[in-house]
Amino acid sequence: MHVHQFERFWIGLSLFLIAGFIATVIIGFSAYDLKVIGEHQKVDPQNLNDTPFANPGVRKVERMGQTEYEVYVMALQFLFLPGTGDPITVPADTRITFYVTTPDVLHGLQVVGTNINTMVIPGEVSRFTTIFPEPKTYGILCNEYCGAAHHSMEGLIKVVPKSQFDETTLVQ
Amino acid sequence: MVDQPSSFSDSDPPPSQPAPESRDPEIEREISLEEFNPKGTLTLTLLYFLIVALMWVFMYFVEFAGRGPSIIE
Repeated sequence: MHVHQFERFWIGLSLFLIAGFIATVIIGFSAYDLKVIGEHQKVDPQNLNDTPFANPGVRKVERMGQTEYEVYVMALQFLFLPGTGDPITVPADTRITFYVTTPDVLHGLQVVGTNINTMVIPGEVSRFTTIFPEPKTYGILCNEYCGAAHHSMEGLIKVVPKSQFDETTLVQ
Repeated sequence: MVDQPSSFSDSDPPPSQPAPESRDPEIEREISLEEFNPKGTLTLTLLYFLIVALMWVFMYFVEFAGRGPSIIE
């Protein structure tokens, strides 16, 4: 089949563009070491009382000799518990692992202005680990439509200096 | 082009135009496919290509990957 030289050029450019899209994603996962959130574990959304989500909040854990923190967050219509009203307070420059689930409907949890973003699915726990490098207050919001007051579902993460982190706010 | 046949009813006389291939007496020079080089279209396409490529780089490396803190595990 005879193809005009310009068309051959355009076809080549299109293929180059597709290869470029794939290459950037591969670079992201290798050189930039970006992670995506996979399914962590299943829970019974009707029975969260038997899980750490019965008492959501920040917990201190020792992992491989390092002090780390775990944050259990429950997303409800239409608040984060903790997060809305009572901000999630964590220390800077420390590994923080979030566990998020919901007993009602599909929600999202996005830390505004960062690429931390997860769906919150009834029956599943979304887990992700991050390090907030410096003290700063981040907004969190739900980005999956969850009902009439979805637009008001928001909260705060307060990152404080390590030395000022008040351990009396931890849950047991 | 599609609705052209419907614009003639049966009672109309057939169009007096000659067949499309030969109807334009203004044609002075016929060129082959290889001689037809739409450079303006090529420039426009390259411009669009450049915009798409730059927007992708900005969106992926600056707006997404550049926005720390990130998920590390």
